[in-house]
Amino acid sequence: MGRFKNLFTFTHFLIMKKRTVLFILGLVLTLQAFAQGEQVDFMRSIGKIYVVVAVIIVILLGLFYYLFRMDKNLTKLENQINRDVRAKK
Amino acid sequence: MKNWWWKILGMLLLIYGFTAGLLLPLKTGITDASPFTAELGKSLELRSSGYNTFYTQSDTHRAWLKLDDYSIPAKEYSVSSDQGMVLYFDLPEKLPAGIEERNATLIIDNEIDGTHLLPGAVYLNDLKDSVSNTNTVWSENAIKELNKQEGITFPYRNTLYETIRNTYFHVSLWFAMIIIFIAGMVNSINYLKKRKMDYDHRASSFTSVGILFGILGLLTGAVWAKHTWGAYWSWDIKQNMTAISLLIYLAYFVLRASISDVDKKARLASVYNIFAFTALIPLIYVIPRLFSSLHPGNGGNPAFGSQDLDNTMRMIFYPIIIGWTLFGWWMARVRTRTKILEEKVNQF
Repeated sequence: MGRFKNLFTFTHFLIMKKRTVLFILGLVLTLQAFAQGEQVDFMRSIGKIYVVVAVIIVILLGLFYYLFRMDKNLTKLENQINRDVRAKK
Repeated sequence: MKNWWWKILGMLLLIYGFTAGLLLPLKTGITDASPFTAELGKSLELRSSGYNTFYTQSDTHRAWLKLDDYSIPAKEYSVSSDQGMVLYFDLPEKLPAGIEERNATLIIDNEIDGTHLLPGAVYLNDLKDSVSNTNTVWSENAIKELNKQEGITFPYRNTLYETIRNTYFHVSLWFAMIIIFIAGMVNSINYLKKRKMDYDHRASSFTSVGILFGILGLLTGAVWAKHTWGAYWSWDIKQNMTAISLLIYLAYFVLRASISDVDKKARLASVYNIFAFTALIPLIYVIPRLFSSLHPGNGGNPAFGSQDLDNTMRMIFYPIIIGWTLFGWWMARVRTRTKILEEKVNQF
């Protein structure tokens, strides 16, 4: 949330990253369209085991996202330390 | 080794939980029986499909249609495959005396698969043309000497089927979330008592991991609900209250981001964290129980009856809660250390 300090920067982001936003929107809509047709049969096959698969994938994606964010914070910190060290020299 | 034994323990518990939770089979069950309706006083040819059954491996089978304490045994049967069986019943002319229930339960029993059943398998209609071609009668308490399936298995529930395994991935996340939130609140209290910034870093880290677990719990719950309740979001009281309590928690980080003074931020955030936790308990655990809900454990029932969680499941469910908690604790520790480092770098 840190990068969107107010609604203006958020809308600004949406406008500047048009392609990213459109890509995500397209992905969601495509998945949704697929879901309409095939999901019922596929997700209900073999005793609905694919629901368990979907749940595990959701959890993994969440954990990956969190790790990614921590990684980014650490990189920022590293860069800052490197800058400070260089400035002292 | 001294400092990271619990991280190893957490990983081992998660590996155990994932492996056992995914590999153990379900108990046998009946997924389907057709036709769905039958006429009393006539012969009935019932096709049933078993789940995880091995019908061709047993020599003899027994089957009943059961209404309350009364039952009627199958006259004949023919096994077509491991999962398919055709049962022939001669239905009595009338319902048993004093019984108004018309949804008969189908029970099948054999040595290998044990007893498995389908509640409400056949709806019994009254005799239409008053010409009965059967002469059977209902017998009371006649179902005896039932077999038990051997081996370690999870309970079989209709409409849940294999998704009962989500208990280890969805439900356990909520339990871990509560423990992580408690840890966050304790650190907030400690900050207010001792005014050391480390406690505030810990509190914010635990809360952040708790929110991650909460959001994952909500998303996994939505996926599960789609395939058992029929919709991702049913505006169910449990779902709504959980979403509200997570929004309250998200506001914790909005509050932190909006104050630039470090001490003031830590103080206000700590107070708010205690408030958020006290709001969480009634919102998630008390209010949903006062109303009827699709979610198990509501409308007055205890959260885990023997219906949803048997002893086999407990052997995996409790370890995996500890596993998720230790894993979350680990993530929170790493975040805390980053925050402490950040503070030190900013001081120099």
